[in-house]
Amino acid sequence: MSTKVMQGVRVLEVAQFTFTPAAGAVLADWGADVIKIEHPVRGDTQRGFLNMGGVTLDPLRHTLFEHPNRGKRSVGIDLSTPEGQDVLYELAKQCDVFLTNYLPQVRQKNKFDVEHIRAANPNIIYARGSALGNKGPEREVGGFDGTCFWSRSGIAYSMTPEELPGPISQGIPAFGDSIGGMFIAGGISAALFHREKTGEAVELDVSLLSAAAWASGAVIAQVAETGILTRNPMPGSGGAARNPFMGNYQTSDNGTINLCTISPTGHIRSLFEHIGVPEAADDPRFSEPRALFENAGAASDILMKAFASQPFEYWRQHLKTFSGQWAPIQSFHELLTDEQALANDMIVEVEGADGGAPLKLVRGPVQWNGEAVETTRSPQASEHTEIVLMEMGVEWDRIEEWKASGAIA
Amino acid sequence: MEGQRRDRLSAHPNKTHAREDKEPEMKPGTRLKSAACDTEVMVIRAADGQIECGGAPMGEAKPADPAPLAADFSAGTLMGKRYVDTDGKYELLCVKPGKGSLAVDGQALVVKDAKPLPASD
Repeated sequence: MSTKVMQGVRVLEVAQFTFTPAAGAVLADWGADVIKIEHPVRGDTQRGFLNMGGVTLDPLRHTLFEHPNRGKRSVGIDLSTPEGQDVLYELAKQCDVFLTNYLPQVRQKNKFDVEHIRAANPNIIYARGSALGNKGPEREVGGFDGTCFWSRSGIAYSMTPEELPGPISQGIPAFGDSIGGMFIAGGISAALFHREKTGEAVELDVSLLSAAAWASGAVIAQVAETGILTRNPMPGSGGAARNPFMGNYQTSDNGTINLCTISPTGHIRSLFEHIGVPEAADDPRFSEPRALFENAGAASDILMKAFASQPFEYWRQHLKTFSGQWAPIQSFHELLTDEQALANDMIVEVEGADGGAPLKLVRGPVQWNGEAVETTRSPQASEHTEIVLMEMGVEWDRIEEWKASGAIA
Repeated sequence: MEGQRRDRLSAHPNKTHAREDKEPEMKPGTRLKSAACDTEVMVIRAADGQIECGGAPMGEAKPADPAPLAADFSAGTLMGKRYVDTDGKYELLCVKPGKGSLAVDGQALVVKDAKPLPASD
């Protein structure tokens, strides 16, 4: 049994792709009843996103859809029709949160902007995910994390070493979306608490640009203060110019061990012993931090030679008792078998919609009471239309009418 | 086997309430179970035909002895999918998957799938 801190909270989600749906997924992990509204014929456009990074996905095992939609129910409503809008208002009356990433002009045209939803339910929290924010001259412009989170924010520029001919791409699908979705979920949690305390329902906004700016806030503050912008250095093997206990060291099989022992005090003997050169810890060039910094090149050479003598897996296990800070440069393959990740229940399983093997998903990043998340697979498009409407007290005759008019599916 | 089928059909509430001249439609929201596999469906829309799974009529109760799974109706059902006929008279929502496939009076139903807009990176 997992703790459901959002038990009893009902979220009405009118959103597509990953960023804003990911907020609904996090709230669903936490126990909220998240009702996802999808177009009755097309569904969420994400369902058609079947080619990603050269990988073709099975529509019944659609990991890019599962990740931001696990634990939800799907109701098919055509929001371009007045009947469909009526159905939405009926649902809004019984929900705590309205969550959307539709553009302002679409919210106006299809009448689910804040004033329309608040007319149905004055106490509903209205949460918007956007590309560039709900104010300013570009509020009606859409975008993805590749454009707003990665490119426009300055992240791509700083991630890319200046020696490279072009900017590094985001590389990980929905990377900015997934980070930003958690920010929206955090905002909604605070809004629910505020409403509980004061009775006031707020509007809230998170944009992909603001999510990127926050994630980069330490360096942005530095640039504002000093005018100095730092960029990624070119990748290479060996220690940093000043501190040899900082750097990437290549293993005999081309794996990489990252050392990040910013303050070597107390860790010098441990590292040299672990790499099989214990005598270096007694060498006056390396035995205390200031000397180590003075002789960084010589120490780096010793470390490079030592790391190159054993394979990645050897170091991955052997360095576990090293007292300083380090990490194996793992792939996501290795994360899936990382004993710490598994010990902290970071991977959750849901049933496959095809009846096959379960799908492995990453849980939301907050763990409650040390318990594993229990959730369900993402819904099929419009899977729960009648069930949700009946739960909300809508008579079957009315459901039939709406169905006949094409307002719901 | 035939006797069991008739028993189950006659025990069906919609059938017992049938007027002699015209049988009413299956009540929406009714849950039907397959006699041949694990499949269960919720009736969303129905006319007066016989709803079948795995080649055998479906009923609100599961028979004590399972019906054989007909080879022509063994493509399987998928959880959460809607199954419809071509005339739009029937719509069944699969609430428990199984090995049989759905039909009305021997005519196979087809999956009503979302037709998402194409997207790619």
